[in-house]
Amino acid sequence: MMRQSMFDDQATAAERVAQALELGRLPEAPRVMPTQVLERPQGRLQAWIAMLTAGPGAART
Amino acid sequence: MARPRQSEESLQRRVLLVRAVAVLLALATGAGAAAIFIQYAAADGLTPMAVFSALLLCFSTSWLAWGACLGLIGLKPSRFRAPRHEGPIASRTVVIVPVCNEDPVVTFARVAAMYRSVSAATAVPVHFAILSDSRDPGIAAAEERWFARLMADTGGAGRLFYRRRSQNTGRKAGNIEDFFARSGGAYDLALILDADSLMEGDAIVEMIRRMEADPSLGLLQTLPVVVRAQSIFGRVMQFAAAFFSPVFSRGLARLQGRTGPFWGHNAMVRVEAFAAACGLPVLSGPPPFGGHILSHDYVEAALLARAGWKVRLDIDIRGSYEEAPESVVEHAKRDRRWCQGNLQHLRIIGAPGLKAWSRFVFLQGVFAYIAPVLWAGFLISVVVDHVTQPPPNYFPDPHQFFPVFPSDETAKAIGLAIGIFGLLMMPKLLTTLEALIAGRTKGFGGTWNALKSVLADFLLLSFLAPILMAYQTRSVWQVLMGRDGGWPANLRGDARLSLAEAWAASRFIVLAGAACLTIGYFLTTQILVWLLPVAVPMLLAPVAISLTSRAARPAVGRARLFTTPEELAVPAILTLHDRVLAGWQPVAVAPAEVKSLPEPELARG
Repeated sequence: MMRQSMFDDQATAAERVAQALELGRLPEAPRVMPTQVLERPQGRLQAWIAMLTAGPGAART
Repeated sequence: MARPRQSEESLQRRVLLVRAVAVLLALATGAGAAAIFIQYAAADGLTPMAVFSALLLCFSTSWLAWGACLGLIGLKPSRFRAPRHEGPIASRTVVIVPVCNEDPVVTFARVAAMYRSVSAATAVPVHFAILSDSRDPGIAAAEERWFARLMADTGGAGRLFYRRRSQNTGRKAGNIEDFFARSGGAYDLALILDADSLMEGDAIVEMIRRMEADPSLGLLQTLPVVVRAQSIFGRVMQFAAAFFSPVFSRGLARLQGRTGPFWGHNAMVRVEAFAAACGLPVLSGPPPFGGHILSHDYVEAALLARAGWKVRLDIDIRGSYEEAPESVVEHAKRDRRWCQGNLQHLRIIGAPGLKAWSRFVFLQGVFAYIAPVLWAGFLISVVVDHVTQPPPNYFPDPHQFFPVFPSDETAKAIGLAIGIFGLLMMPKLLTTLEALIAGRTKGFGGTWNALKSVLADFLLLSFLAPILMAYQTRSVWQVLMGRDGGWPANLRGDARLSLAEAWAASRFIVLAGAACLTIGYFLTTQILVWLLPVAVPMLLAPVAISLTSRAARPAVGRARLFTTPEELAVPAILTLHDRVLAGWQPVAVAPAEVKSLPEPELARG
């Protein structure tokens, strides 16, 4: 389902920002924030480190 | 075009050289300390436990030496002048103020002060967005009322914004990410603050100009100066930060190259870079090592560097302020969160594509919390080794006429202790000397007053060190046991603790100190005297915590101990904040009292 905008759909992004500011609202101007890759696929060493760092009490969390 | 590139390359080469020298020096010092210890321990016959102690000493001393290296590298004044864009400002800038269950009166008054200050500094509009994650309905309602008052006072419609998330997913990092995802396209630059941050308008404009001058700069971090400490503990920490941290930060800045730090606030980011590079994943597995990333700032700095953006710490930007914990207990609470966050970095230290320096920074962060544990481990292993040693055999040969005495290596032990103490003291002594030569002591109430404050700072922090070490050791233990510390709200303002409250927060330290002394007394009285400097502060922890949480004035204030430059010449932004608060009575309200706040007078705008 398309998200309903409070502004005219035909307006350019810059115009929509200006319209929002005139209304005193935070402008709707989305920026994509792609999720970064920080974990490598687990090899044997990583699995061993993960097991160590998980700690004996990990189950309690 | 060739020259700047060449100078950039030569700068990188110099940075690499300084890093290599510092790391090698730290490791060599640690190895030297371990070698002396081995010689000392070998006098009674080398045991596996003594070798283990030497290993712990090697790591601990290397860490101390690394701190000393940072101080030494930062001693020389910097001639670096950051490029700044001199023409008209073109960037669309937003100041982001994430809040979570904070006192809205004090926090929104800070926004009012900064808004006025930046409006006076530039005609270019700078927006402010208060991003609330407050879960307490009373505080949330108060935020809306006081935002209306803020708008009425400043006339900031279309420039000041407030929004509250219904779900505070990802805590502070998630709050900022949510803002970028919804509104980031409207801005080029974003100044990220904490609820207790204050920045002069001129400083904000200077940061914009520096960001505009270098399109490859992804993040610009300032060195926030601690202000408004009221308690004895707060003022000691405030003085130490003001007096010593410029030198240590300069050392850090010289080592960073293009891969500088991000401390989570009082820093400006290029929105395009931050959005493209800093979308944080949720780590697999349960907290404390899995889940949302707690110390997100270090990771964001590493991710920006990985994407090829420059991350820089400019310590010469004046007018950047923050507040700090007012008691040992508040300090320990914050430290518990940082400890979990830093140890969590073990999970991502091997993340693909990170710069080597970023990985080293993660390792440093881990070491900051592991080092006290290593020291504690060293002390315990030395005691165990001493206790389990067989008595000396003066007649190893059955037909021996004269006894053979083990060689006395006490001088080596004393030399080692003096050396380690020197490592602790040297950077502070040299910084004091630098302050005297550079005339910095004027800002601390004159030479005599600065020297008195340095001495008092040394004595008080030395006394508190075993207590802080105990809290850190407990934090590391809790994290390793898999206990998630969560994200407790910061208690700002009055943090006075009664003796009963201090006892409740530190009885485990007293018990540990008592156990340490008892074991030492019954097992070996010879080393009891070596344990006293650690055990006595631990026994007196509740008294020390309660006393240092008390307001410093008039006792300390009158003596002008721990005076800082910002107390002698109050920065304009602090005065402006006070003025706004004075108009927004009641002035200072503790978070617990927020629900009973009176309605703001909107008509006075």
